Amino acid sequence: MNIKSKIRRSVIELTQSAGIHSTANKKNRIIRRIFISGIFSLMLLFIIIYTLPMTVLTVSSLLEYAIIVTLVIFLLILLIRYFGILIFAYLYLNEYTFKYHYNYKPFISIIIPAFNEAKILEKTIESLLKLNYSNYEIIIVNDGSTDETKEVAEELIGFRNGIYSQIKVSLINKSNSGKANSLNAGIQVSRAEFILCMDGDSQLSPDSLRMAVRHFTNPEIGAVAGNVKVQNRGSFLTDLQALEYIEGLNMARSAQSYMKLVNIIPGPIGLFRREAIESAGYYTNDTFAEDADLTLRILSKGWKILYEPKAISFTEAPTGLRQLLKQRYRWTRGILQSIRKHKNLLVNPTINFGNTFVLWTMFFEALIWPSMNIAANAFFIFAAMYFGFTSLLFYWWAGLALLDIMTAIYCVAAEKEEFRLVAYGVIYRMVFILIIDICKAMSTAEEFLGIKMRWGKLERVG
Amino acid sequence: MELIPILSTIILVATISTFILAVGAYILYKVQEKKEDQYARKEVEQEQAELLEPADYGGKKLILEEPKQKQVFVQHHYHPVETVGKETKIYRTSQRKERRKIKRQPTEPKFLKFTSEGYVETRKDQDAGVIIWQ
Repeated sequence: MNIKSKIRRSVIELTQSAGIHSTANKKNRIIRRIFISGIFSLMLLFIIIYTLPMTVLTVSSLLEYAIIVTLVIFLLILLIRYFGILIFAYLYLNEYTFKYHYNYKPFISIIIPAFNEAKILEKTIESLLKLNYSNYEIIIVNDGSTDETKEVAEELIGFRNGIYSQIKVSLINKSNSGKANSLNAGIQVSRAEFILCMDGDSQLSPDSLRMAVRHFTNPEIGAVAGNVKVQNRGSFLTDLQALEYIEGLNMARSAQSYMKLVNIIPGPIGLFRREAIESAGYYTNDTFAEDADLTLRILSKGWKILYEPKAISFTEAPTGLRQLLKQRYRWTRGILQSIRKHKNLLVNPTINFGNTFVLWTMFFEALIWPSMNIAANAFFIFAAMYFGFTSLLFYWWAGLALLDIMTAIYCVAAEKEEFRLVAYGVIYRMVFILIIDICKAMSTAEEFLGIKMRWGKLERVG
Repeated sequence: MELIPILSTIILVATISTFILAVGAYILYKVQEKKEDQYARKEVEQEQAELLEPADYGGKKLILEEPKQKQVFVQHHYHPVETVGKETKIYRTSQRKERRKIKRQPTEPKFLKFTSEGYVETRKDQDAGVIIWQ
């Protein structure tokens, strides 16, 4: 219910970050990149052709050995990755279970960037008014929406009844300049010490703020990443994504949180210490994954980042394959852009070892891992079709499916999630992850070639 | 026919179909994306915006008591901070230990040692050597 009050209008000056992708010398850069990689490939090929007669190997046996060695390495990395993540996630969740609870209620500003979110904005605000926390305000940033977002948001301005207090809801109307600039506008207007950034289409669980903010009693913590869950379940694709969020993303975040090095604070929920954002230099527009970029900059300034599994944000997942590919295309290219932006930390571990480690894991997940997965599947198809080793493919699938089902059971139990999602583990890797990995590989190739990329908007059901 | 060859064939067909589906969907996405109207993003360094906020709330502010959270004493490595209005109280671990020490200090000695002078407190008899408990 809105407590009727007068609305005060004022004009504010916003300082925004620099724009994206300077086009100067772009063509030259692409040509140079293709030229350098071409020379390297030719050199490798020459070395192989030149040295092969000196060995006992023939071309076919070399190929055979290379494939076997690659597969063994892939299997080894797969097992190390799985069990490494599982062990660290277990350690974090185990430590988390015994953590201290106390009253700590600093003032928090919740910033909601909204671009064409008229269908869902009211629902988002309703979820925020049900938060188990008394000391917060809501700032909606209308990023030049072309639908009725402005009208819907203006209706929501005022002091509204929260669970424990009246919550101030304000609105910033600005021209369209992207999510990063919208979040920066909200941060500039806010006077709070802690800032929660979220998406306009996400809803928070009642305990989100209370559970996330308690970590800031430790002055080392610069930000807390929340737990993102798929809201619109029920279809084949959204259920698979729900499992992926639990098994692939949240478990990895738990593992990273054990080292206080969470590598991406998700867009749908991230609580920041203002000081950390200011020291990192706010959100920027020079990558398509502004959340990953800001996270890396915060880590590079020496702040620690934790994951809070009980700060839950329910978000709308893409319902169609095209929308899903669109989302993953943006994520992959954005992450690669962020890694490239921090490449000095990637190659020099003496600057900040934690950051180097984080960047390598990101590089592995974005580039090496999908390539290996595609190569392994392609090899088994080749072996089955040309040599008739069809049973190999079955054993490969059975092994991976068993691993995925076991992991799914653990993650579903740890997060008290729907048990029916475990069944999707059977096809998770061979179907869903393969599609995603092919999309990642294609996006990587496009990023490498410097093909122009534009912002898109996921279609909302509401 | 055995089960494994049948399953293997199904998986083979499924994997090949997934490959084709993924590549096809990606190409289709790229083709459709080109046709679509895109949102052009402005590159600005300074821009004006309109801030709409409620004027200060005139009436009495409703602030209800939040339920006290359960305190569980287990391993803890930070200093909990409690904010009461504008004041901030910081409980240091050393202060806590001191308080605990005071609480635990017994009023009467718990252990006595028998010497030639009768029963004496163990603390007073520290110079006599190490106490061996049997």
